[in-house]
Amino acid sequence: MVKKLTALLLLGAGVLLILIIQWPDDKLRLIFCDVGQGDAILMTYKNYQVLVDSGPDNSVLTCLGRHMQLWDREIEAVITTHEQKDHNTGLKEIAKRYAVNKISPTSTEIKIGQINLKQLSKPIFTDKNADARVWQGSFGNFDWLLTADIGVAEEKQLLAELGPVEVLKVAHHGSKYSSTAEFLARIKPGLAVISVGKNHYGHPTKEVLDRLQAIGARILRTDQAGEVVVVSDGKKWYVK
Amino acid sequence: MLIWFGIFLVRFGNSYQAEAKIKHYEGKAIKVVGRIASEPLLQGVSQRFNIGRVQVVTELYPKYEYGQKVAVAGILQRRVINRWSNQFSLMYPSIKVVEADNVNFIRYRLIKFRQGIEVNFNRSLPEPEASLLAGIVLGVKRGLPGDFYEALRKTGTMHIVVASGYNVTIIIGTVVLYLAGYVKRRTAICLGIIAVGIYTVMAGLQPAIIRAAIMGSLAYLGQLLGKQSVGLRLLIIAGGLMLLFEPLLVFDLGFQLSVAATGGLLLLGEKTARIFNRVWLVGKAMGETAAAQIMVTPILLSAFGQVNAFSILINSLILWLVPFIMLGGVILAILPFQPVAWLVYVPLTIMTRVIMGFGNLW
Repeated sequence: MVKKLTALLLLGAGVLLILIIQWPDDKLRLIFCDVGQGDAILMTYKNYQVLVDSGPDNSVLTCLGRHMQLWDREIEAVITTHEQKDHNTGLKEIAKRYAVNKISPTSTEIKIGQINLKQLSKPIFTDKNADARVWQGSFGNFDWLLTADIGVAEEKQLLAELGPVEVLKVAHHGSKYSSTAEFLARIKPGLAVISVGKNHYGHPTKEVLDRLQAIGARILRTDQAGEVVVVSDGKKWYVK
Repeated sequence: MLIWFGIFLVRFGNSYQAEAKIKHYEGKAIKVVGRIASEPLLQGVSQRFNIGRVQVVTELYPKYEYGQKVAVAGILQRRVINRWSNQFSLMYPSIKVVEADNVNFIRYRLIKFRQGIEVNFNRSLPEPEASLLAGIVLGVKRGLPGDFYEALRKTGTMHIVVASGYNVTIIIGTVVLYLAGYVKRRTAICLGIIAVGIYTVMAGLQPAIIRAAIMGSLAYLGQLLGKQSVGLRLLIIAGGLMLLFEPLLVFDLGFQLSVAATGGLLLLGEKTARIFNRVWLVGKAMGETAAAQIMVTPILLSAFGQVNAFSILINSLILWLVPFIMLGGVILAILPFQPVAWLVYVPLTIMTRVIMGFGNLW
């Protein structure tokens, strides 16, 4: 009896410890999940989450498990930039496990906790990849741009709306038909993250890597660095 | 013994010929109609399952279920495993469900029951803890995240999510241990075997799990009856009978591991227990792991070409958690409430962290 009580007490202490460890601070986390060849980007602030795309398989679940509190089973906003397998497959399983608020493709602005997201005007698309919605996020003075799979033509159309951001999700896994020098010069990212895995398209291409290097951006690839976590308090930011 | 061997050879010859017949269709377009014979395994962007002797690899969605009757059309591919055994597969064929899966009422209820439990786990726990729990309690490894699967393989701990005779001995052992002192030893063992029965049903009554349950409980029974030789004899009889029914089991890794691990426990369990029992907390697990591991190592070596030298250490660091997780998993299956899940999460996350931690070392 004493033994069982001790075991239960130890378990209780363990739960308490997890509670303390996972108790949220008031920083924003911008997480590029390592989902292989695809996109899944999670933003968290306290117990609020925004997920942009859900990857080509169910590996996004591990990413959610790692960055959400044990007691939080709700994702406040889920955005799918465009309906392609490498961007929307994980959502089926997520919706079975979490309470999910899917954001309609037509909404232009959302505010979750202190996370602000604005959809840039939707370009007139030229193919399936380009039929994508581009979202710009901000948290205090920290800005980031999520370019989904857009190409040169769409970048051009968006140029007028854009200004410098701290972090860029490089378009279309580093395809050479995206991320022109002109586009990169306008947004001047401090950090460029390429969400990429094993593929036979040659992503990320040397051309894009060179262009990013030319503007002096730090480059992180999920196929080499694994998951990329950027932390910000609204003023400063760093890569964990 | 001779008679057994004779029958075995005949049956083996028959199935060898059956395989030769399949081989005839290699590279040709074929259509197979049959029931999905194994729990579909989800790996990255693909889903795989068996129909008879043919492995089918397809996309992640739509999801197929164990027991569903499907018609599959594609080109048969062959991969040689050894002289007597081949792996036949259909890569991304066209698949049609030909019969709703609720025709066989009992099978349908069982599948729904197990899926209901999985849903409870998935709704209340994060990954990879949720699928680890499903693996340990239900013996399903369909949803294991890729990196976690790799870590399990590298650390030599895959057996905890595979239905094996070893898992079954843990169940009986735990029940007997908890009830010791309250009821008679014989009653405790009976309850232990009932627990194994419940486990088998929860795991969906798959052939592999039934085999493991029979072998594990027989071996444990023998162990408790006092004489080592009784347990061994029971194990050999059980294994021999299974081989008569399905001769190709000789090549089944799960079967080999089950026999070797339970055999190891029976043969060497006492000796290793004497050595390791002094170690605090994990001593019992260490002794059992060592006994099973010594017998299993040669099989793993020939199957995977590599064995983790620290496997015994890693196993003993996590195996003592298994009884807590099993008990917690059963409670969570019945009472799917968040606080229950948090309690189960504690041993689960210790286990995943140890496995991932060691897995990342190599």
